[in-house]
Amino acid sequence: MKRFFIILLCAAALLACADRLIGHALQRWQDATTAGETGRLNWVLHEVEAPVVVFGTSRALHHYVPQVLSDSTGLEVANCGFEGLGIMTNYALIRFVTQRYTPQLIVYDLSYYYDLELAPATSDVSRVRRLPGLRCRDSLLSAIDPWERLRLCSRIYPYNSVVADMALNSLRDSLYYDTPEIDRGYWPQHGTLDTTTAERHRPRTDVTDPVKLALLADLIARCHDRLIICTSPAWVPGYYATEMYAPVKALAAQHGVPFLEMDCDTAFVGHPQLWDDRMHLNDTGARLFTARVAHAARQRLTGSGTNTRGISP
Amino acid sequence: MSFASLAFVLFLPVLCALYWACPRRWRNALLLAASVLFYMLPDPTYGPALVWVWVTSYAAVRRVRRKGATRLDLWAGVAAVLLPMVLLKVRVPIVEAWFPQASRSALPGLNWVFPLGLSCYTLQAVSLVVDVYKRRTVADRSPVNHALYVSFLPTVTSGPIQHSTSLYRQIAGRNGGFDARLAVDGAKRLMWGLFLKVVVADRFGIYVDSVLDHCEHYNSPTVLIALLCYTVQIYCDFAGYSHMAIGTAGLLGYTLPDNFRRPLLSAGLRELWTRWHISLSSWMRDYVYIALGGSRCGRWRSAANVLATFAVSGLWHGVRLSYLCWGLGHGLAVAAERWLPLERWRRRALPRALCTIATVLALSVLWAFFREHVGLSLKILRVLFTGGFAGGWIIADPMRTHTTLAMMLVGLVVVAAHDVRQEWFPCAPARWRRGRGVASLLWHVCLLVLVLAIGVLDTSQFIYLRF
Repeated sequence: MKRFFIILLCAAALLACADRLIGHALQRWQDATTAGETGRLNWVLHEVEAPVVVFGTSRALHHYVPQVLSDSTGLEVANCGFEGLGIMTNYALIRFVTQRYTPQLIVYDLSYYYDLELAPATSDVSRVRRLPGLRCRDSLLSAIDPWERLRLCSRIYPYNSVVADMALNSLRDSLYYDTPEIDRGYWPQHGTLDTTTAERHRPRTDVTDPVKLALLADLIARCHDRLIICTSPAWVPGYYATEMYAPVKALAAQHGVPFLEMDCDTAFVGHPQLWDDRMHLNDTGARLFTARVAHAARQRLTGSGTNTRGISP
Repeated sequence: MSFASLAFVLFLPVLCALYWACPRRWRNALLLAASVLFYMLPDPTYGPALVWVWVTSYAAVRRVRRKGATRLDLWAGVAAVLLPMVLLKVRVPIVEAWFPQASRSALPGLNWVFPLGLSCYTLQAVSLVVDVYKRRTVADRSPVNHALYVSFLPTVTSGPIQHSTSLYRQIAGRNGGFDARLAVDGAKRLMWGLFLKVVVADRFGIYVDSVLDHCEHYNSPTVLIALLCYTVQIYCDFAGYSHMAIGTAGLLGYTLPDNFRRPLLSAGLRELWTRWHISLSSWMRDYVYIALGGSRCGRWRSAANVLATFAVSGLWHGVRLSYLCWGLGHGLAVAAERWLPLERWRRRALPRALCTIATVLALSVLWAFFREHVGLSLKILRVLFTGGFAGGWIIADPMRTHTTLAMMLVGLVVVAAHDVRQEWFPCAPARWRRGRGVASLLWHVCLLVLVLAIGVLDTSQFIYLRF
């Protein structure tokens, strides 16, 4: 038995050393990455210092034009939207950014599937693991899965399944998010919706995730004096049924946070020339939409913003 | 509790410490308690079926071990032991046939969950009853030993199915002390099994599900590649679980036989079934094929016995048409192989290689029947054989697929190198043997690093836990 324990202890010590060394190397590698999604994350976390910031999913990424908001508010604007990132990661990003500086205005583009619907959080959570500088990281992850605190004892674990991505990124010429068109984080789309192709919708469960709702509530409570929540247009009106936003609207009203509900706005729905696909506006549509949001942004910055259902033309 | 979960990583050292610290005469009872806890913690409703199998198999063993025991005693005992497994397996197709429109929640009293591992420990119990009747095993009176044999912790949830001649004797003759070599080997198997499961099987599963569940959008070559990946996924999933079960048993001082012996290097499906899921195939051979007459009858009768045995094997996985088709497909292929000169072909490298490739292709095509239902299976086969080159290729979403494929490739290379080395270079050259211990330690630490770096560490279940 003594021999077995010696072998076991040697293996454990070797594993611990390898874990620390490789984990440290992976963290340095990630911090040095400028390309792809990792590069964009680093930009948001360490470089963005704009007074006005926009967070959300790909709908934030493609819908909010910093130039338009900048012209309207007179302030620098950064679009920090990400493909497929919901409230769990966006909450972490906002907390990380506000550890560095305090934006004057945060625009959060709310998307039902990513920010409210009960769904597996695994891909969202994986990005949060890689934010060791985030003070609330462990408690945030523990709220999602209590075992995360134990797993985070490993330094390699936060980079699980990302290693290949980072390695391949260094071999690729052009990457997602690296297109030269991206302007202060905004990625314009230039297509036109083809309404003749069949619609395919992922079935909705209509069950709210309590963890996501809690994070939204905390975000609203923390940033109530400089937050706007917006639901940007969707081609399929009512796909994100407005009644599912009721809890968030109630929280926003309680804290005096403007809630701009524009997912069924007829200025956009039914006009295929404004759409790149059924969920994303093209550049023309995005500029029109941002101009509508800019009014609420200006009011918020001057301290006169109120809860609004839609913006009248 | 899954073997690949953090909870088990914490549970196992505590169990081992208690087990080896415990006086020898109490070890079986402690292990039985741990087995019951391990089995019923995820869902206590698994309990009644396990208790039924304990009680009926114990009563059957007590009955058939008597001098005047008859075949009727044997068949009655076996029928009683098989009852919950058969009832629960046929429940789903009967409910679907008689109440096609009703949801299961509308049928009070019929919503019984299929207990985890019931198929495996039931066969294990049956083997004990039959072996005691045939005087191959001597069973003692201890209900603790009997219950432990049926619900042995490493094998209770998903096998491998143990023969009583091996496991029962080790349980009953519990005299051994701690064996460091067995424990080290067990720990190595645990790590290798974990690698197979979370790095290879689960990673391949991500790709396989995305293609096969939407096969109508892809072309034939892509579906073929997905089926080949499905073969690798199933192999690594189940072999990984088996290694972890054998490794856990090793840490507790038990020796369990191998369940997989590099099956993807087989030349012919007959050879495959001597290397794949060895515990089930040997159980089917000993208790079904030989009982039907085996090969001690005419050629056609022998072929019919093979077909019947594989049909039973298919239905063991589930009473569904798709599993029956899978079993019959294998049965036909194995029966037909008797007419092929495979023995001659296997002796030369190139014919053997071609046979191996053909075997893997045939195996992969038959796995199509392991998807959810026969309709999906037929759709996959239709796309495979008639889809041509139209439709999407494997690079569905380059930014995401590339990274998945890269990680799959790493896993595949490691598994292939490991299996090839074990098959053709099992003994290291003399000059390398001095550093073998250190090399083995470094190798296993690398495996764990790969598990942390590229393993799929989110919750997932072994494929064979479904049966």
